[in-house]
Amino acid sequence: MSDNAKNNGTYQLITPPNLIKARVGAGLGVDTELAKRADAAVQNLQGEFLVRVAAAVSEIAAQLTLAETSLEERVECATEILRIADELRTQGAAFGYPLVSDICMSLCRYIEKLDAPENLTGEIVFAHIDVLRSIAGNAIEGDGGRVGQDLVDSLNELVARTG
Amino acid sequence: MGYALDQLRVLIVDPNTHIRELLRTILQTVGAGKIDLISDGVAGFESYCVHEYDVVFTDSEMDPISGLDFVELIRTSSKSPNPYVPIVMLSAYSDEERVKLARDHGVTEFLAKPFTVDIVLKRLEAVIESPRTFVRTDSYFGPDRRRIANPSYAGNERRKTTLREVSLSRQDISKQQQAALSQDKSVIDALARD
Repeated sequence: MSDNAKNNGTYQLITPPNLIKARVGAGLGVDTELAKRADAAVQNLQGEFLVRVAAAVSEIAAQLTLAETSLEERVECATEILRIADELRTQGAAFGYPLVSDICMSLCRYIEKLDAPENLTGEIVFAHIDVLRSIAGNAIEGDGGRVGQDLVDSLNELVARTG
Repeated sequence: MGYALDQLRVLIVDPNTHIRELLRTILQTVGAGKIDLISDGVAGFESYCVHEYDVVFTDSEMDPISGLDFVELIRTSSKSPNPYVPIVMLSAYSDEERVKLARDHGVTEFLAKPFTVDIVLKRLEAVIESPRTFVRTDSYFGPDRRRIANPSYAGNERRKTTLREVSLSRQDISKQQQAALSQDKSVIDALARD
C-alpha cells in the first residue's frame, strides 16, 4: 500500500460509523481522577522496574564476559546487549526513569554504529552500565537533574568519538 | 463526566511483556472493560477475527509478522471482521520515515516509545473524538492520511476524481464480521511462513 499508484487515480471516501464513540458514550474525555490513578498505578510499577534494571545490568556484564571468549560469541553478545538496552530504553520514561532511557539510547547507538562486532569495547559498555547500576541502587527518578544530563552528555560524546 | 470505558474491548499486541502490562495497567485503571494481551501479530490477528475490538494497540517490531503486516491484515484481509477499527501503533522508532510507513499501512495513530500515561490517554481520546474517514484507491485502503483539509491549498490535487462517498452503518460492519468468520487462515499462515 504505497503512495505511488494514487497520484492520478480515482478514490473512494468511506465514513465508517464511530463504533468506539458509541461504546463509550457522550463523556468528555477520560475521567481526570481515573487518569491520576493510572499515573499512580504506573508509579507503583517503578520499584519493579528498578529490579529489572539491576538484572539487565548483570546480564549485560555477563554478555561482556562471554564476548571475550571468541569472535563468534561477540556477534551474539552485541546483539543481545542491544536487545536488553533497547527494552530498557522503551520502558524507562514510561516507568518514570527517563534517565535510564537516555543512557540506554546512548548504549544502543554505540552498538548500532559498530562496523564490526570485534570492535565491541567493554569499557564503553561498562561506562553505561555503571551509571545504570547507580540509578538502580539509588532509585534516581526523573532525568537526574543537572548531574544526570551531564552524565548522558558525557556518554553521548564517548559514543560519538568511536567508529 | 468522563467516558464509560467499561464497555470497551481493547487488543494489545506487543512482544514485550512489560510494555503489555504497562499498557494494560493504564487502560484498566481508567476503566477499560476488557483487555486482551497478545505477544505476536499472528495470534493477534486470530484473536482479532473472533472478538469485537474497539481499538487495537500494536508494536511495530514483531515476529513472525511485523506490526505493519499485522495492520495490513486487519485493513485488507478478507478475514478481517472490521477493517475500520482504530489502530494505534507503538514504536521505539519515531523518525519521519517510519511514521510515514506506518501511515501508509493504515495506522490510525502513532505512539512513540517511551510513552507516558498522558500520551496514551491522548491517543485514546484522539481515536474516540477524531474518527478518520477511510480512503480506498487502487493501492491503498486505510484512514485518510490527510488529517486536515486545507481550503487554501493551491498545489496540484493528487486525487483527481472521487468515485463515490459512502457512509457505513453498524449493520454494514456486522455483515462483514459474519462473512469474515467463514474465511480461511491462508493469508495469515502465508505471512507467517514468509
